[in-house]
Amino acid sequence: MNIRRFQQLLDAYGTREKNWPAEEREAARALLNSDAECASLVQQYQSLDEHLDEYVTRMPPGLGQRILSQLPAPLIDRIIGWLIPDVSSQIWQPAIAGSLLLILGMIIGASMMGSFLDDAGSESNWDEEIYLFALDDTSLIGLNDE
Amino acid sequence: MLQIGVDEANLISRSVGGDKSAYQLLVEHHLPPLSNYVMRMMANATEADDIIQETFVRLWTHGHKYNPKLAKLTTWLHNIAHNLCIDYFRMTDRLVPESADHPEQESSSPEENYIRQDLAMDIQAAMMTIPERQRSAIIMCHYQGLSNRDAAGVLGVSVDALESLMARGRRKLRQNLSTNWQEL
Repeated sequence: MNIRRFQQLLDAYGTREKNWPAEEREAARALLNSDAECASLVQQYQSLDEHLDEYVTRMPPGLGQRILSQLPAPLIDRIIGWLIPDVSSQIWQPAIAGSLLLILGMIIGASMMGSFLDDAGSESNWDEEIYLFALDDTSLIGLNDE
Repeated sequence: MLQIGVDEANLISRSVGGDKSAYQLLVEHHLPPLSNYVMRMMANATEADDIIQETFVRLWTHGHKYNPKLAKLTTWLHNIAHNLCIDYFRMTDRLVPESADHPEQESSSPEENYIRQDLAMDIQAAMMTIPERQRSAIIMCHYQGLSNRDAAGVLGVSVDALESLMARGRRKLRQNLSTNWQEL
């Protein structure tokens, strides 16, 4: 610590020792106690700190309570709240009930459609269809037409 | 009084899990200093009120993003509040505030109170004339008791840059205030 650095500390942090960087505080204090020039510098700078200390603020009344009362619900609660809102909004209840039935019907329908497509799409079934078609006497159709 | 350290870490994790009583304890502990910071940054009670509330809402909704290994909770909250203040200034492009209400100090005569309120208003006005980052640096180190590293972290600068910001800010404050207060 030298006088130049000491002045830099005063420029930046002011004259309050508690505001000086922790790692330099002890050295700065020692220099201040041993060097009259440092004491003179502190006197020059301290009026600004005294003025700054006069700037006192007051917390807005009831702020803590407002913060707690306006707290948004956790995400999962908000999702559930959106899906199943307040009981007073009656229109949602038949809509949700209808949606659930629709979803159930879609699931059942999809599962049945899946098995039908599996059956219809299999190669062996097509072969069988062609074979049966070939056995049919198509010439009779032509004779009848004539 | 809240025991900072292990208790705070426990409260944060409970708060992240949706425990309102834990969150309330965190608010009670951090609200007064954070309110002082924002009030001095904004110098307008209504705007400050909104920013303080939003800061604590973020603690509730984004608390899971806080990493105690990287910063103290107070530094993290100051960071959020600082960014909200800067966003506000950018959005409104307004630097000169309405004058705030300055509380009277106890055991003072009416005349002393008048002089103090006058001085407080002058300091507030002078503070609002300096750039936001210089103001924020001075508030954090002079009033809030943040370490130089924590304050530098909030502003996203090195400690040297923080000292430079504070030195320039204090110089300008002295110049602005010396017109009314000769002793400066």
